[in-house]
Amino acid sequence: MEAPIYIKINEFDNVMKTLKEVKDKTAQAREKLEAIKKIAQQEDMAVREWEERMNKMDHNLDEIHSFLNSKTR
Amino acid sequence: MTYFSRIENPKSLRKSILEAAKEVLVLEVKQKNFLELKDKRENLILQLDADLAELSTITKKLDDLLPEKQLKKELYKKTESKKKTSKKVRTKKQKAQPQKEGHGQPDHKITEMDRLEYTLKKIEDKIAQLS
Repeated sequence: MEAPIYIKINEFDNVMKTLKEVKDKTAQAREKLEAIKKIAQQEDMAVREWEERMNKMDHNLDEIHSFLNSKTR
Repeated sequence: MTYFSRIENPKSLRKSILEAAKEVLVLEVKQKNFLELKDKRENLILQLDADLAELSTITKKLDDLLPEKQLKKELYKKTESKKKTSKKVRTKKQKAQPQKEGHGQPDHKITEMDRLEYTLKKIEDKIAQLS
């Protein structure tokens, strides 16, 4: 079994303060990452919607084409 | 040439044309929204980049405050003072014997990526030692 060790930390308060800073900054970065993920999802949705709308437009254009072509004289 | 096209169902044709026009307009609006989203995302990525850089600085600070680093600093100070004394001796020797041109060490620029890779490797080695 490993024996415990004791380490001397000279500026304990400073270490704790810095640790809190790291934690806070990490939380901030995580928030931003979540926001980026959310936006990326919205972008994906928008692209899918574009595709659907373009398909619909293609369909409309085909219809118009057939209307105009069916009885041409 | 002019053609006359007989439209059996003009209402449907009109509807199809209007629907196609509507889709074009909706797509334009969607594209504007998409560009706004893209700008927002790019802005956030820049902010995240800044956060990570700051995080790196704070982590370095924390690393400096922890004992192992303090011990390393002490050791570094000792080796530096040793180096300085040995350098003084060397410079005296060099003055006596001038160096030939083009035989110096190549100037290696350490990039941020090199530093990160080195630190990562060091941490991985430490983890491997512990497990």
